[in-house]
Amino acid sequence: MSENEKVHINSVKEVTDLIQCTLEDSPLLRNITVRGELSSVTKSKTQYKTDCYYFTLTENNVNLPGVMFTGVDRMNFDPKKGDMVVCVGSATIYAPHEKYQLKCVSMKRDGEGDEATAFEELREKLRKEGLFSQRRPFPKFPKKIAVVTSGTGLVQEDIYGALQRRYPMVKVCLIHANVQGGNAEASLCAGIRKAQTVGADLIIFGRGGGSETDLKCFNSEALAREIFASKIPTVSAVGHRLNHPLCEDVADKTAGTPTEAAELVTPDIANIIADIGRMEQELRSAAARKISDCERALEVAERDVRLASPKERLTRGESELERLTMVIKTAMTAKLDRAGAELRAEMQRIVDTNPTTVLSRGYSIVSAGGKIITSAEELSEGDEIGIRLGKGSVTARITLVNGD
Amino acid sequence: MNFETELNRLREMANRMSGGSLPLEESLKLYEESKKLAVELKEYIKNAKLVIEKEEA
Repeated sequence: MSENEKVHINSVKEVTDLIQCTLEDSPLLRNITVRGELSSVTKSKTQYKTDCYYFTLTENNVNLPGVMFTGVDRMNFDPKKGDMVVCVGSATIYAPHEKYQLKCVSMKRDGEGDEATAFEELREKLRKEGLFSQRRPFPKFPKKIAVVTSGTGLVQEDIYGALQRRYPMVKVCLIHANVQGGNAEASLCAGIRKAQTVGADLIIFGRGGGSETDLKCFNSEALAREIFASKIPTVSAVGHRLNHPLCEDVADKTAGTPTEAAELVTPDIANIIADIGRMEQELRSAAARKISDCERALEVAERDVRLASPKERLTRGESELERLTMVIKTAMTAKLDRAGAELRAEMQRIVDTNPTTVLSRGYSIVSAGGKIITSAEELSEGDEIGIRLGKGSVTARITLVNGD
Repeated sequence: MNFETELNRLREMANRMSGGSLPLEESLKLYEESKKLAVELKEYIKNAKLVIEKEEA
């Protein structure tokens, strides 16, 4: 039996897998925290277009390569060569390069945790003291605005631009303060104090965006207390990307940008002009209404006066008289007409009963010796009688008398 | 000009006029006055230019 038959010969892959398994399975090397100085950092993109950092942690000439894919944990700073950092990760083997490395899930600046904790404690302390509960009303039409910022930055220009556009009748007092560097904290505090003395009715303070270090002065306790102590309301206009600075908690209002700060504290002149236009219209129509109301009232009064005048009363009396006369006249005419008709009928009746009228219808009147004869017995044979006819008369002699 | 005061005065005039209880003569006087004031305000706005003072902290 040869040696070759006794010994198991591994493939390169098998050995590499074994090392990898041993290393990666070891609980001692999983999720460990390590502190070190970054001796090199390279930022690149993964195939998924996410950020990826390759770096080396160094301590006394001992190097530990590392890799970190962002998105695994938030990386809230930009790592640079020389930074002392604390990483959390697990050991892995990258086989093609014969290289072990620490695959990290987080990287923080050394001491940052302590600093962050201390800062949160400060924030809590100030909150309990009531520094964050001050929300004062702002004047609707500010007369003077104090702006505490760098006299060289773009912040002031943005604010001027917004004010000129929106509310140009306001005065601005720019109070130059250092907004970064060693004396920024003291300079900003002095700026807030100065702002109390220039006759302003509110303060805008701030700076444009910057790195975390640049914005550090806006986290200062001294500045927070100065802002709280301000006699006039304050607006914070600090450009930032991450945690909101302490001064925002204290300020009466917070704006994302200097322009927004100017907009928050001023009315828009376009609205005011529209308001004035509306008021002018209101006044015009109220005046026109008043005039026409008065005209109407005048007309009514004139009519009343006219009706009450003696002349008007006389005229009204005359026409009443005329009317009554007419009524009487009509009644009289009707009455006369009726009487006339009655008279005519009566006369007809008289005409109808006249004896001569009867004669004309064929009757005759017989008389003898001046006496009207109505019976045959009154006459005898031979008597001379007169006969009156409808027209004319004759004389006759009786030849026979019939008694019945 | 105190812009805010004058603007409020115009608003007050508009309210008084709209109330309608003023005598005619007073109404007309108020109307003339308000017309003048509105023109003044608009003129003031037109000519307004941001005044900037500078101080050191």
